[in-house]
Amino acid sequence: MLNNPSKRKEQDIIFSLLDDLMGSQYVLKSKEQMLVYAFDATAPVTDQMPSAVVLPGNRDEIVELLKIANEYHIPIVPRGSGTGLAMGSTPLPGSIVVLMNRLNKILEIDSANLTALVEPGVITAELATAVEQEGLFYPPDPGSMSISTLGGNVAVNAGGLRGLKYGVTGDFVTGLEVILPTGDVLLTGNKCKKDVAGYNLSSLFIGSEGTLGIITQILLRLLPKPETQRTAMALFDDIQPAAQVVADIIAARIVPVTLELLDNICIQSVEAHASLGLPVDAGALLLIEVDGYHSQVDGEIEKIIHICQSNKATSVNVAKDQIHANQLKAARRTTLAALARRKPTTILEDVTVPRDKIPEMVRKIREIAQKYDVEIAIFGHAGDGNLHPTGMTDARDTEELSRVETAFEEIYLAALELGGTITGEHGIGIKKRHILPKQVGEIGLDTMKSIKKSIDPNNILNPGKVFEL
Amino acid sequence: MKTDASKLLQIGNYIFEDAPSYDELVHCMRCGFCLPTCPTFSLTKMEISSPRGRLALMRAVSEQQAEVSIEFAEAMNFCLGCLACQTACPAGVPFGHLIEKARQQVENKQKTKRPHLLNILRNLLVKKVLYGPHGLNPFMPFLRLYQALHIDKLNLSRLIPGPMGGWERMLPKVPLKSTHSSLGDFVAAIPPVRGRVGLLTGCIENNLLSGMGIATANVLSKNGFEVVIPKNQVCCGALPAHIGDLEIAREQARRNIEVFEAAGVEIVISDAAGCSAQLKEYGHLLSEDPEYFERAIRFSKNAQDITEFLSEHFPLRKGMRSLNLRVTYDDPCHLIHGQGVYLQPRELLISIPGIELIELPESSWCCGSAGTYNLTHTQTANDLLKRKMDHLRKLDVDVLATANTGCYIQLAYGVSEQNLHIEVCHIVELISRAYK
Repeated sequence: MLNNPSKRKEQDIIFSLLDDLMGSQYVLKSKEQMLVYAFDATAPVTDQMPSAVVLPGNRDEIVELLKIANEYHIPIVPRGSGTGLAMGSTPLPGSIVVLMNRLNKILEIDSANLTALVEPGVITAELATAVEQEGLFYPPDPGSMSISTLGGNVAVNAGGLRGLKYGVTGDFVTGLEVILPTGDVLLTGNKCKKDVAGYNLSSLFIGSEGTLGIITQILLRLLPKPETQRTAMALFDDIQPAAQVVADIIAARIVPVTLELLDNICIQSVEAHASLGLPVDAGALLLIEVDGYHSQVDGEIEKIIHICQSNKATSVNVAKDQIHANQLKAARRTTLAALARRKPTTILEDVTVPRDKIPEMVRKIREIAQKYDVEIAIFGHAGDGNLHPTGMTDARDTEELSRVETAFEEIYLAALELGGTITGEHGIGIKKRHILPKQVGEIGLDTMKSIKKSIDPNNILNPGKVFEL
Repeated sequence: MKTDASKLLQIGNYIFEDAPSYDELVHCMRCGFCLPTCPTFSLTKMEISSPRGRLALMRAVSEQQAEVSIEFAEAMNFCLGCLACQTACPAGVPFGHLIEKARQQVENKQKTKRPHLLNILRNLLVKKVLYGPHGLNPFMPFLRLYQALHIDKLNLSRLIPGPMGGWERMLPKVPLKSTHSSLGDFVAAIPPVRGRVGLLTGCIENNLLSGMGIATANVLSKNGFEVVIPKNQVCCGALPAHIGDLEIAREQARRNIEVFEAAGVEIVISDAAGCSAQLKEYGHLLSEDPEYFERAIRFSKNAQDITEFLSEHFPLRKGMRSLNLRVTYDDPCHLIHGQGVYLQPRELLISIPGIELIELPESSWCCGSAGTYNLTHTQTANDLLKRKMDHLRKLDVDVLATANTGCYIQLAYGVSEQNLHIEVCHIVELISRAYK
């Protein structure tokens, strides 16, 4: 990749420094190895190979790695499991990808203080299972939780199906250990429930998408495990009344854990994968879960059934047991990938609006799809206002692809007009950086840039992600 | 819409026929849901040992970003072919077809580089010894003698370099008679007769695990099915297909279609999951063969695994005695992932009087056998086998049941190496025993 001889020599020096630091088996350089880290789960993307991929085994190696990168001005791209949906962890030309997978220990589960201390490479679902065994509960459950890493979750402030009641990853971070681009180790937060000592630096790194530092430890808050859950599935002839139910449930002062919306295309795709006997001719499906004490959930689920029925639900069924409920939720998590059965390129968006605007946002998405004559499937965590309209296309059909892209530009603007955001839980990465200024404004963007410049003066950490300097 | 450029991509840097289909490759949207289900990824945590990584490499070769290089070959051959990723894949990417074609490319390339003698030996193995159920016949007396004199205990094979080192420890106790010589070419049904089926006896199974085939014929007969066992049938073709010899696999498919058509049976049954899965692939394998395509589709539609067939003809006829055993079951990959058969083996087991079924954790994970994988990648296979045995050891069971030849051999090897007092057998062997 480097034709310039002096650059090539510099690269050799850097490679030998990395080999000495981590051991050559943890410094990948072959073309084949670069190819398999040239992407994340964002579509459509032209793969971009890094110049090396490294697998540090501990904090000290990351400290030294960043010192080297800072000295030689090498772009550093941190990566967990590569399940991001906004090109936040896709490599940059000449960059070194830093895999966090070897730092994968749950260091402590503190039942007395309801916290867990983890390394960033721990898989989200593994932590959830581990704390559950202690009668505790870690609520954030991104769709990819079976493989996503907690470090990645913090870096994009990932949401999930339970966001409605419990919030997103950032709501559970109470402390971090971060390596700054200079190699300095920054500790933020602690186990205290209250802490107002200075700026809230943890929140600076939550959602920073690897542009400010590399997270090496995460202190997470936990909750006691709820006594019970009840899960219901409601069907509708059309998506519009389903969207109305979402708004009505919130207006009725009920906060379910989960309130998921799937349109007909999504129902068909998920059923093709999971064979759960979902009604493939239904216009829309709502998956609703409440949790808490027995007395409370029984009352809530009855009210919800009533709201569904008064919005012309064709049927409302309560899952017979937790196994069935879990199957439904697991199937829901596969929606995006299942859509790829129909069309190879599934362009996923992440617009979020205030919850009372859900019916209007759904209407707008459908109008825009019609206007540009493109197929847009709709699913999402409707209960927290977060929708995932998904453009169904084939990247090889460039004409249709450009219509889909234009349609999404309009969908972003529609969300902003409704007081919403261009991304609820996936982040900006490269994919949405062109639209970020429209949402945060000039002052907002300048403030972000000045933070970036003061922490990372040489612009080595994931440069060009979120915004270009 | 397909432009000329996209047509060109279907060949890319693949220089031989049977390239992985680009149209299928692009359906991988890289969500990563396959990663936690992949046994090789669980061992290395490296993307290149994951289904998503392998698909990215296949795609890169299609897009002329990479070659069928040594590292490409290693990545493809490190795959067990267990197809757990295919079960997990929401997008429905047919990984099994893609990896077979990628390996075909690798094998074609390696053929040109390998010493001639090795190619001859490889051909001899695939085209003669393992081509049909009788290829191993000449070796059997020697193997029996070898075991009778306990020479196998000296473990001399470990001195052989390469994939065959240590094979004798895996070798099961060689039975006195093969399936064919025990059963002949027809087993009558106990009346009233309910139907007539063909039985595939398998290349390894016929000689090394003939107890499986004999039990299968017995259970079928007891349940009113006549069993036709054509002598001139050949291996199902799974073995050559897995190691990148698709042409030989096609040849075997055509031959079996002819043989079973001539025998006048519609339904062809195998009791080895790897074989029954392969029989169901004939339609796909011969999709571009005008003469055989329709016959292959029909053949595959009527091919069944024994566990599927028996559970379709539930309940089994009366006459079984109580076995009084605690049994656990390990899903063969090519049954659960390759054919989606999960419930039927369990239904069969609990239908046997006196059997208590105890679920084995991670029963859907590969045991490491994976065709010839335990010979070519012994260390990885042993790591996976150990994982399996660690789960097994925690259960209080008498029997570990399975439903495939390779798994049978691998699991029995694991149990004996670990000194666990657990019997390994096929589900039909338990049913057959209960009928005695």
